[in-house]
Amino acid sequence: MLMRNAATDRGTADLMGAMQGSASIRASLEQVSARISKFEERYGFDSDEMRQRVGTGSLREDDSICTWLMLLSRRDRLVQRQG
Amino acid sequence: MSNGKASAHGPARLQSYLNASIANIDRFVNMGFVDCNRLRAEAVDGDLLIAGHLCCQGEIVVEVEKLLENQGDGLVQTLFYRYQVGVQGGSPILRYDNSHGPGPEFAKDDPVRQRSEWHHKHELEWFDYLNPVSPDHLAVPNYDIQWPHLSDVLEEVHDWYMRFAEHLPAPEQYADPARCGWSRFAYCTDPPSWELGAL
Repeated sequence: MLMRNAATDRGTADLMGAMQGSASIRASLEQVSARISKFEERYGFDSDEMRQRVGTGSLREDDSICTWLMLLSRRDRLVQRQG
Repeated sequence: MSNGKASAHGPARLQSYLNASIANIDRFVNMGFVDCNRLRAEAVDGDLLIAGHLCCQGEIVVEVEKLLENQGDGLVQTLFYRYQVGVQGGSPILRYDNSHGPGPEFAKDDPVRQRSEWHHKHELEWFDYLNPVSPDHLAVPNYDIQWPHLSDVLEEVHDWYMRFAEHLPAPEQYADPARCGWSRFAYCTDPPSWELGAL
């Protein structure tokens, strides 16, 4: 919803409710994993190697790599959620 | 960018957080720098996502993606963020993000580096518009910059605009929201369902 609508009493309550609701973790995980796989195919190395290369400075964290890293953070969080 | 704001990033009441964010953005709308606030708030994976675009003068787009954790009792706190700024149709300017996240394997033998790069800034090709740098440039580790507020980023971008406006292709024109893309977003798909039909 628009941020301005979200800031109302009703909007805030709806958002809090939605966050506590049963998020489809499994579907999100599948979607995120598929996006990560596309990055790995495109670059020709896996996510661990990407993190290593960024860590050593041999790979520049450009827009794409930033998105890839954020997807990995999201996947880690989803896995944590899934328990 | 102002420093020393760690305490400002603790857990906050969702409604207060949203109202403060809107007020901060409205300040730039009232100045005439931001034309439209296209940010949305949505529950994603049990967290709160704030994402979208701010269309600014000089065809500048501020792309915002923030994930806030629900801490219960109406409290939320930022986990991940990315503020990406560029001139529409090219010319990346800067990015603040903490996309490395808390992954323990990242720079595990170098805790200082791990800590410093949690929050960092990229000064991109057109950060100095008159002397564009190599695309190989440059992340700036920020040892003392805490989580940047969106208002801090807008302040910095406005300053950038005031410095370089006369050199921009269309200094008075606002970025076109219809041309704002979603491919860089990690927490919503392209296009997010909640963007459709929004004004």
